[in-house]
Amino acid sequence: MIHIENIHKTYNNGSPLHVLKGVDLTIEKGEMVSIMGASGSGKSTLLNILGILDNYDEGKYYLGGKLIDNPSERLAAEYRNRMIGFIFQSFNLINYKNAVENVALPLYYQGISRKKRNAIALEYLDILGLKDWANHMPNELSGGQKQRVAIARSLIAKPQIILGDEPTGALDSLTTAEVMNLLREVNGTGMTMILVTHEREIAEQTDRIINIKDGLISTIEIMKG
Amino acid sequence: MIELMKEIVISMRHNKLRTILTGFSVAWGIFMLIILLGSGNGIKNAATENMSRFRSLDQTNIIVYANRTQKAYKGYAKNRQLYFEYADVEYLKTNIENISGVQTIRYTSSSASRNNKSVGARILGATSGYNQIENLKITKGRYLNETDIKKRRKVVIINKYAADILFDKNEDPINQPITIGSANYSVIGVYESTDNYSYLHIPITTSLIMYKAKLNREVNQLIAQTVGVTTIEDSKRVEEQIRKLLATKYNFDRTDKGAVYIRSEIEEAIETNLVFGGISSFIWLIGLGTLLAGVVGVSNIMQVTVRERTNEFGIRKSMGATPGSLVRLILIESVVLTMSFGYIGLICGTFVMEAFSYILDSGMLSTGQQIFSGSNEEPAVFKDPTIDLGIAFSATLVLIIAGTIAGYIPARKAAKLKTIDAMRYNK
Repeated sequence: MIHIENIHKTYNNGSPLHVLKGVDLTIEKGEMVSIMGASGSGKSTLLNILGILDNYDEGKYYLGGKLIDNPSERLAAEYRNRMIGFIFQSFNLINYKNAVENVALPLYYQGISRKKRNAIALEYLDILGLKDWANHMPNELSGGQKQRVAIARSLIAKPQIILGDEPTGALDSLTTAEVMNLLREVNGTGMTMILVTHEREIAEQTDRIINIKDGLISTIEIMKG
Repeated sequence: MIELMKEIVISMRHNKLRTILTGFSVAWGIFMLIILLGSGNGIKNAATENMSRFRSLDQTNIIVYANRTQKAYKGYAKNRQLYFEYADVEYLKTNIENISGVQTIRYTSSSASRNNKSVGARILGATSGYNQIENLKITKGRYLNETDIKKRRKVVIINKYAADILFDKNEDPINQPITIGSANYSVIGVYESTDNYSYLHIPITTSLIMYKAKLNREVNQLIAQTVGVTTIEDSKRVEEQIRKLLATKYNFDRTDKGAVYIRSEIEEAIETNLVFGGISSFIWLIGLGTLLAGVVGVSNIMQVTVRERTNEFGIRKSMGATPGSLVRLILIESVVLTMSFGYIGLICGTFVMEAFSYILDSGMLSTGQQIFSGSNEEPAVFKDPTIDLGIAFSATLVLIIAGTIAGYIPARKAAKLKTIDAMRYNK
């Protein structure tokens, strides 16, 4: 599903900062992988490149067999819309839209009519047990509920991979367990999933742990199978 | 497009305060502009009407009054009352090429009576067309015509004051005889005025016979119609020509400014135009200032709006929004907002000015009416305080364009921001 070869990334904020120094990684379809590393190790940068939120300087990135070679903003937007679902630590819901509207947003950018996309969004909220909260605004929802809305949103466009940037970072332990179970369930349907985390406990619930250190993959731990 | 509009409506509904603030500054700008320009027009219209004699710049009059001399000249003592002659019409016309015609007015005093009612009256020997020069409002009948003058008819046009005294309210004065001095005249017209004295207009030719004019005591006032006099310099030159011709004929000192009093409508017109041009520019200046304040307000709010929404832009981009779609979102929201509130301001402003105009016209202001709407004699301060809708629409358009530009620059900047940076913005 994901194949990267010799990815380099340098930030030029004043003095050049070589963040990724040649990363090679392959992730199979249906895998659930976690990326771990100290802050500044380059794990977030890697995730941003995988999510086509940021470009890379050198190397090759294949997503679903397609070479992602520094696409234009327009094309990148299209790839993100069709192929990638995001889950963020801070949920990133739009605060003036209710749960249904937030979930339906990716479909808006596919040009699907409001009525149709809201109906689909409601189905997804139903699956995630939030049907009764469909018309609530984000500030009326608990952290766990918000993240479930975000998960529904990441799934609605039927992407090829889901990227989670510390998806449980803002949640208490009970909700964390809930959300992780949910993510495992989603993964169980064959969805490829990559989570960035700094919590060992979370990482241990995935198939593989990829440890990043100083811009390179240091070790890969295989948890099961 | 429909989807985009729905998206915008949701955004505006959920950001009520922002929407209202932006809307208010737009609506207020347009509203004030209309009130200001409308008031300016009101003052200008009133002024134009007050200068009733002034029709167009190439058709103005120079009015000459016969006075008393203030200097002794060629053996004549000073303080001599001057009179013009009916023959001066031809005298001035043939000698000054800028004069196309001359009206003569002769003032005498007498009394008018009918049945048992009698009133002292000023009798004006006038010519046809004098009503247009004085802008008399004929309410019944007609004014003197050429035939009246030629045939020396004994006809009279009376003012409202005389009509009220000589006739009962339900009587129609037209074709009724009245007695002036010892002769009977037929009333052919009544004109509106606020004078508290009787003024009667009869043909100058009739006046010359009836009041046994000595040859040198014929006419008190000459009204010279000019052609090709468009500047103050032209006017001054013609005035000097008139003074010189009259001084030669009537033996007074050419430098005796008091002997004949000369009033030039074009000078008045140009001076008044200058004053009102100044007032008008000033009002425009304030109006544009108000509009500019509106523009700045809209720009400011758009800047803040974009900054506030940068984070949202990041989220939208991660969901597949293109930079273009984000710029469109902001711009169309800005245009819709400016347009709808600009329109509200336009309607409110126009409504207020029309209402004011209606109040002036209907005379609902019983005491204020005198001051504002004026009458025949009292000058009006305000008239038709309405504004050209084209100007109002252009002003709204200016605001819309300004709002668009003001929204476009920060929107493009925010849309071009890397998705990841946009999402971290303000966090």
